[in-house]
Amino acid sequence: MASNIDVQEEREGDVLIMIPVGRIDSSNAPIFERLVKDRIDDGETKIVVDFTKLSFISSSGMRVLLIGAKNIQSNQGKLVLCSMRDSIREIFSISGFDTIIPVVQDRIAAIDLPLTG
Amino acid sequence: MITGDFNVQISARVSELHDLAAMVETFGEAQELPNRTVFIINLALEELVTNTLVHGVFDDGVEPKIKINLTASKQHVTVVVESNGGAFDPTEDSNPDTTSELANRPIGGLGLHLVKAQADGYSYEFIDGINRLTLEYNTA
Repeated sequence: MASNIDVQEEREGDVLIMIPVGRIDSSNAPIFERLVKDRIDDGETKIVVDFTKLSFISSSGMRVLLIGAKNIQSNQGKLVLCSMRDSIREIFSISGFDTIIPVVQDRIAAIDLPLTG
Repeated sequence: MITGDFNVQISARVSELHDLAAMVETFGEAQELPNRTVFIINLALEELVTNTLVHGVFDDGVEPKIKINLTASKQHVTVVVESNGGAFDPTEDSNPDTTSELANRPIGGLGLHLVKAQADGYSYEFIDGINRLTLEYNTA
């Protein structure tokens, strides 16, 4: 049985910003996965996931971001992560995710990051 | 720091995770644990509960059960997690691929890797049908 997750969305030009609130764990990761998939299927080619309001993420949530990054890349798009607190940044580093999914300091840097490269 | 104990037994259901996290946070505040320690203990518990659900083998009528004990002392926290569902040694899990490029990176296998990478020590035993994983964290 899946718990819900609140994901706020904002737009800056062609960039969709998704702001998950609270926790992403195995109870609500399937719902987050569906949301990210829907946006990519809708044709979004640049998605920023802003971690400002996220206090916790487990490997279930990280898996969703990995799948999203792969899918959007196959559409010549890009997924960018920003504004992580130190505890979350640490697990992205241990898992080596930060070498394949761009992790930047804040939303401005995320929006400025070019689609290619 | 005051030393303290925390015991809880939960059903291994993902719906229990939010309540468990809140209890660990309350324990962390009472024991004045660093935020990082509270985060990595919560992450470990989430990964282990999920793991029991995914890998546990349960006879008819047997519910997945997880017993958690946290002991905080000066500069140290010990977390003991006991679960049913058949023998499963999480310390034996192989290291996942953390270096391939995006297109080739396998999905999954990270949870237990994170648990072990962030613990300062861990040990596993299987006694009387119960898996017991002990995790050690330095907080100084």
